[in-house]
Amino acid sequence: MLACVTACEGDDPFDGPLEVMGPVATESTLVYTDLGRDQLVFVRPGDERLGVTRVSVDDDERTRVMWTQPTRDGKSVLVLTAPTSDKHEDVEKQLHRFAATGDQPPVVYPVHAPFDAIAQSPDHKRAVLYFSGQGSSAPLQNANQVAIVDLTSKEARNLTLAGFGGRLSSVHFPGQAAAGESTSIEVGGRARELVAFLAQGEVVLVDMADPASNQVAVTFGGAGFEPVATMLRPGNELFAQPALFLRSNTGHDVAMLTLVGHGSGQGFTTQISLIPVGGSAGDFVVHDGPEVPYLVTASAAKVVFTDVRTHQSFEVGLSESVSRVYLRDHDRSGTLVRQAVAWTPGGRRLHTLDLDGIEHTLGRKAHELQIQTGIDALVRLDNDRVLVGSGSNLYVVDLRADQVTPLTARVPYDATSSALDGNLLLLGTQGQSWLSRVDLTSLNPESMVLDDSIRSFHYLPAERKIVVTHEDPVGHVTVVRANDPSRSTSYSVWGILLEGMLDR
Amino acid sequence: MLASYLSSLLCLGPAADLEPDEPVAAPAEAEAATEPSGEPSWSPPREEPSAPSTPSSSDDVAQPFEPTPAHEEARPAAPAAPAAAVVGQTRVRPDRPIRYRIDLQIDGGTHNIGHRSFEAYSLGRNLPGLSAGVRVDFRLAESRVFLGAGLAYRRYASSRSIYELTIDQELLVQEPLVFLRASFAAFEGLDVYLEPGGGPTIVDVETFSSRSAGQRVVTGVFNGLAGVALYLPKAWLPNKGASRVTGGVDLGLGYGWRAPIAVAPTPSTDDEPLRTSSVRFGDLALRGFIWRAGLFLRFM
Repeated sequence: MLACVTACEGDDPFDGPLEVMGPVATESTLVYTDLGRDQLVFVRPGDERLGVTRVSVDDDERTRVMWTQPTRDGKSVLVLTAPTSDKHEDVEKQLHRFAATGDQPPVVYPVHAPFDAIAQSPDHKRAVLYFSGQGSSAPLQNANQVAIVDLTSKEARNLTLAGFGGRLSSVHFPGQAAAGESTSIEVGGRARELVAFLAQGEVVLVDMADPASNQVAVTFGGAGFEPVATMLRPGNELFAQPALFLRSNTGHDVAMLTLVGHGSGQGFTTQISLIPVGGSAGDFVVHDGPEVPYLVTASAAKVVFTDVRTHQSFEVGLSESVSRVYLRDHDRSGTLVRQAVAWTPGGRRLHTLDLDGIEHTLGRKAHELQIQTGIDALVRLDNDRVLVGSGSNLYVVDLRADQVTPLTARVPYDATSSALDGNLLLLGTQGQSWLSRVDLTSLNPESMVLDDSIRSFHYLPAERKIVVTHEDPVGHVTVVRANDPSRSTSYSVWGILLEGMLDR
Repeated sequence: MLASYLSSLLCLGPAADLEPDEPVAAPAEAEAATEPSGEPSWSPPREEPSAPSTPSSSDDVAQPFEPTPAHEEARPAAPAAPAAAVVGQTRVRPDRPIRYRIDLQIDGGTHNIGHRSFEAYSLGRNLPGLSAGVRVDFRLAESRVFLGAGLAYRRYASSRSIYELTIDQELLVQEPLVFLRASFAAFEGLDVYLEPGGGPTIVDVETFSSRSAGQRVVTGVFNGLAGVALYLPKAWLPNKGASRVTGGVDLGLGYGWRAPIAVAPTPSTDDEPLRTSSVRFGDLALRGFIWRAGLFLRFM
């Protein structure tokens, strides 16, 4: 009887699995999601110790966390909640925006569906929630239902895309190339912040800044054109109207949608044309010469320059096929010139092509940088340096100095699992039990041995810390100073997910 | 007679009695009671004339029988205690008053922990344990009250796998205790007692996942117990009032309190590790009702 008196107090807090998602990294914290308790666990690394804070996502026990994502600027973390059961009809689907430190109440946005995908604008202002098409928990689902959330306020806009029946496949922000920079395109005399929704054989354009604006939908159904990438060129003196370019993996054309104001003065519309580029374009960029606006495409073993006004083009041949291209500013003897860098996964060269006066220099050839063991992955560190992963080799390529430095390792590195802190390149690959750093000024590599193998690698720029997680259900991390990675200044913490478990 | 004397040596010590006012039979009176013939406790053998021996054909000369001289005088009357009387063929020891008691006890029981933090180490709220100890108490004047103290060693252990067998947890509590005891002998065979006590408590907690982590904390414990001790009365023992040893069962119920323990186990590491620590799991509060049942052997 006495045992029952003291024991009959409710559910066992230690029953059930320890369901945890993540972690995801913000600029200052690592964030785990405790699905069993609907809590976020914020882990903040200090110089000497770790701070662990638990925050409830929602006070309503009838809700559950669907997913967690950090914002692009790392200052917040987004959490989508939905009802635990379809019987809870009065429970709303909501998006919660927590500060990266978890020390403030969240901003809550009402969204009308349990979206399973999110796209965030590079200017850090907005997020678009949509359905990825990979299955849904809802009995009946509107595949083209989306929510546009303003991350700078408390506004959220729920709408259905006015397309032609094609199922939404991806979301792009074509006018925003530079991260963190607010970008708007003037269309018909009005500034617009466009988002492009790509569906099967069609595209729908929405002005995120103007809820009253119309949606512009374009279909390519009859042309066999399936858009997979977008790029927006703002209007200027060379070509007045802004233009949206769409690339397809099939066909030899790039679609060009010239954006113009609507005749009634409200909204906008498009004029459609297809530009032949001489092959299936693997990638494209826009480049303004002194007199000609160019569409630059990488296809097969050439880089094609197409005048967006006349659709006339010329090409520069390469020694191997390329499928990626990007532009950088190249310092040539104190003068900055625009340069195209082209490459392809599996290729053995980086091709660089100076674009100054390209139209007047017949026979100009691209300069090549050899990657002996082939390119598996390429990461742009900054304007002048790229990191190439190639099996058990890493290549640090200095485009300004025209220098390739191979770094040989015992096991393959993941070039995408890296971070740049000043001139220090930091690497931590899953499965390895060491962190490596390369001083990019001296190209001197060093490695620091960890006590356990890496599960995931995270760089927290606000704290200038690297946090490495290890495989352990209770949470185990190692904190390393990014500017001075050494065993004497690093520390390890175990049992993070059990913090405060006896007090619950 | 010799046989009866030897058998009396096998009987236990002097008699004891819960009623010290009852007169103890004086050995002389006992002797008188046990020897209705009025003969002293020991007397030389009776002299009996023997028949004259038949002269042998040898040259031996018939020797007249001479009575065996008494080689011992009759013993004087023994002092009142602790001499035993002989009744018939059995030696009987006089009753002894109980002035002190020494108990050796082992018991088992459980500690019902009321705090929910304990659920991390047990599926239920009960922490089972064993205990062994010794206690001594003395009669207070001529009353039925006995006051004393004792020492005991108590051990509790519990374990549990939490979060669907992801994490294993173990708890071990060891306590060397000192306690006081106040008993009231309601009647022979039943004591009612109060037993406050305390001492250090050594708590070991361990957590196992991909690696192990352990922590030892020494804090304090305070117990308050009340209960009954049932034991064999002298009337049921072979030596009756002279019995010096008995046994019984001890049933106790009470409450135990320990200071909360801040659990932050230290993970195991290899040689020359990074500076490694764990987080604070929270406070483990081990307090609640105790019950026990034990057996004891009493020397009085």
